[in-house]
Amino acid sequence: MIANAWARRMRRLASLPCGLAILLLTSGCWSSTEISDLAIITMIGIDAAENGNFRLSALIIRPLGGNQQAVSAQQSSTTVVAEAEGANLFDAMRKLSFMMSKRLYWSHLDIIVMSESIARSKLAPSLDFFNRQHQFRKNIVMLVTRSSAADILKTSSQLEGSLGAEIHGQIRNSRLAANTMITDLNDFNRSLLQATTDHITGEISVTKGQKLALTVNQKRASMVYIRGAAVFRENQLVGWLDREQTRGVLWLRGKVHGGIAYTPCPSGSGEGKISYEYTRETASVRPIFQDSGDVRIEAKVHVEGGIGEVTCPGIDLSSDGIRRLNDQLKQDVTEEIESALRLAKDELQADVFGFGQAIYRANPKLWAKLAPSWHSGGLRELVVELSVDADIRRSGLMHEPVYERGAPS
Amino acid sequence: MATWTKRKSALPSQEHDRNNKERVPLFDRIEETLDYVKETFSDCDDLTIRPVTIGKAPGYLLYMNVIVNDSLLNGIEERLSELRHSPDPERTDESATAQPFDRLQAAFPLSQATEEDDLNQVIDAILYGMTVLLLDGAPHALRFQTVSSDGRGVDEPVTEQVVRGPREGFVEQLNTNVMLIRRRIRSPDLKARFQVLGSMTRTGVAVLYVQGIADDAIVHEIHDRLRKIELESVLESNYIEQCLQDAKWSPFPQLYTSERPDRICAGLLEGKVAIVTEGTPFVLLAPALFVEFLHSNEDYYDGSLPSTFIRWVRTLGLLISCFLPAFYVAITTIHQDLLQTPLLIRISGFREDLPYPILIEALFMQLIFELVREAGLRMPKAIGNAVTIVGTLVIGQAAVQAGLVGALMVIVVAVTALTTFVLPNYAFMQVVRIISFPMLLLGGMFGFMGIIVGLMFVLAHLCSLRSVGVPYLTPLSPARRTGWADVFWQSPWWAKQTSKLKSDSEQPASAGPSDTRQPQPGGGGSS
Repeated sequence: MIANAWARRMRRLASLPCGLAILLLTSGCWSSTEISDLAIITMIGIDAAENGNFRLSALIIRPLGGNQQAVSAQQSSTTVVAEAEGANLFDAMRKLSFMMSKRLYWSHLDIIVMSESIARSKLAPSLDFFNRQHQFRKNIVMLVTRSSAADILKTSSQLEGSLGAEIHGQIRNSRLAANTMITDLNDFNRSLLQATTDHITGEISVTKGQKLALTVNQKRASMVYIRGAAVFRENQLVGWLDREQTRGVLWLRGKVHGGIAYTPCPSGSGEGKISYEYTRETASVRPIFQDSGDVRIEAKVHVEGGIGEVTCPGIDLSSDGIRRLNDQLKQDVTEEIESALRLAKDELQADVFGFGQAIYRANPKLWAKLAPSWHSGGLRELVVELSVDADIRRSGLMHEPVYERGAPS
Repeated sequence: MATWTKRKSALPSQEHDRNNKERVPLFDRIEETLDYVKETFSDCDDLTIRPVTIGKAPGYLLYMNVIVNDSLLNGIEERLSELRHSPDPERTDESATAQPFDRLQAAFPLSQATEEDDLNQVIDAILYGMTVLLLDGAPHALRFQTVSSDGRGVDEPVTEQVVRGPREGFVEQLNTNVMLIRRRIRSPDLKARFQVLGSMTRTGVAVLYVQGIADDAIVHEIHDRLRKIELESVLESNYIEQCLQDAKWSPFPQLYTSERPDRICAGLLEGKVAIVTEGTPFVLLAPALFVEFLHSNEDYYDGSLPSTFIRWVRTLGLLISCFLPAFYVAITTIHQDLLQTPLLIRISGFREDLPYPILIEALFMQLIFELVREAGLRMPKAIGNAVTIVGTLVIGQAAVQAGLVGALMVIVVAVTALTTFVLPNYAFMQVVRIISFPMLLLGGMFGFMGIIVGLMFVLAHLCSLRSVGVPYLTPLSPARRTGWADVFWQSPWWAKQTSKLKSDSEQPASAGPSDTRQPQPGGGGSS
């Protein structure tokens, strides 16, 4: 009896490792992939090819082995740009993988560069692919280039280990300088669901041929940089904003956390320029509903800044003078905003300022009435009452200009 | 399981010989008695039999010459010879045989000599190192206290080093160990019950507790379980520990082991029961709680802030040593999307051209580490260092340079190895190291989901564990706020509330009376 019970117990005990072995060994590691078998893609470019095809280029990181004594972060990897054409993005991606000895790995993709023609006509259908495939993140940055997207990818990075890191660094800096505004996949997705806002996103280009120059090891080199913005209306590229107009949009969105501007010296203070440095901004965009059923927008912008550089010999920086400078600054900001309004609101009819969003939030029923004609006249007819308020608070480490006393004015 | 503690049996008396054969009275003739003893100790060359004469009566002095204290024995022999040579009126009548025994008894103080008339007890006494005098015609045998207490002196314990705190550690002698505890708790409420375990080794075991603080149910339970132990040998306290465990197959230590008298005393004052075993400096403390294995004794001697900080560091160490290899393998084989891009590129670079999958690599490295550790542990100290250096070089440098193992894996294994040493309790550390292996397999095969499932199994097991009827995860689960001051933070002594351990079979209502610290009449069966 005892022996029997013992045997039964042992059998039960033995069944545990057996079961575990079967469970573990037969199932295998189905979703596991060795990290060295991955072709890590950090950027892709989408260009238009003939016959309405897509040309997909992917920036693949080829890491240098750890044993090869990578000297610094800049040399920890080299990049490969692979290009393939397909009838749609999925097809192009499949063809891309034919070339690869490793599995294409999309989870670390964080920048998509579109050429102008793709952005004009094919962004909306492309969004389907990026949302359907589970490997894509939702915070992929979308950028537009006027040249070819593949060329952007082929530009080598100069200060960072990878081009992706370099672009991200520029995006981070652009937030501080209020140069541009970057929109990600998620934002574009949101406007698929609810067309209350249109987007702008950064325009990326190569420094070659611009007034910027870069020399690496005594050789002329080029670099990518982001400036201005591309304007989208209902996920279609409709136009471009230059840097000042972009800032005009950012003023109304309350996104200016830095940046500089200059104006000529106030009258009577000689030749030269005075530069401002923006430090803080608050903006409010409020819809005012009138009894007649009309709606207008009341936009208030409050700008704080400091003096960055003064080259006006006879400038008056007393409180009265500062007050005059405030008026000047206010006028400049107003001009920037109005220029952006003229282009985006009146000409392109793209609601990049978030007016529709403001109306929708305050009065969804009214918005439902306005929405159908919003992009065909509704936005253009909208009255925007702009009031800007500027306040120069600091003058840097010194007050009066250095050469005021000895100036031959 | 909970029903044991309900049974309120009287505490066992000092059963010295419950394994013994039946009582054997002394034979009438001394030769017969001697023959019996000689037969029992046949081939025991260390048994010394010395004939002595007291008055006219022949007698024999019996002892094991290897375990008696020579000076004590000499003293007794001197007294005996004094007795023999002292003037004694020649008597030939019957009372002459009885008289020498009386004189003997008168000659020795009670602490040195006791009477015994059970032959088996006589044999026991000889085995304990006593000297037995058999006298012809005497009604009793006389046992002399000649037990040698030679042994290691009280020394600083090797396993639980402290920067601040007492430097005394337990030794191998039972009496010395009980003395070390008694010296710290000078109260009659500290009860010490001695008994013998192991039918062959006859190891002395002392059960200590503080009456009024210790839960009676727990004390009863421990005595109950000790009584049921049927072992041939008890050479170390672990023999008893394994028999006392509630869950026999659990890898987790369910009794606390310490070499430090201050630690044991702290436990006694918290209401625990200490079990001191002869022949080992490791004293058991029951019940043991999970959180205590993360506590070092020094926590209580340091300031409240540093010791709270150190405890959290230890908790982090516990998590790292359980999960870091599994986490690393899971994140690099299944969840690469959770890595930062630069880190992914880095790791990918390190892993370029490596022949083995990362899981195999991790298992291999963990095994190598276990080998190095084990090799270093068993070696003489001087060689142990060399082994460690060789091991470090082999793992750290050669394996990476030969392209067998990724450099990051070496870091991961090294960090894991390091953090296991943060855990203050050796038994607990061993369990944690063993747990990291199944975790590694689960993490490598099923990713984070596997790790979480493994963790849930471990947690479920921990929740179900009881240490002598007390839930193992007290005061975390069941949550007892009063105990938290010693878990999540370390309150200073003046702010400490004592929380008493309760066997979970005890109803909260009936816990009332035992909350008072007054000794209860008849409660603990202290006679």
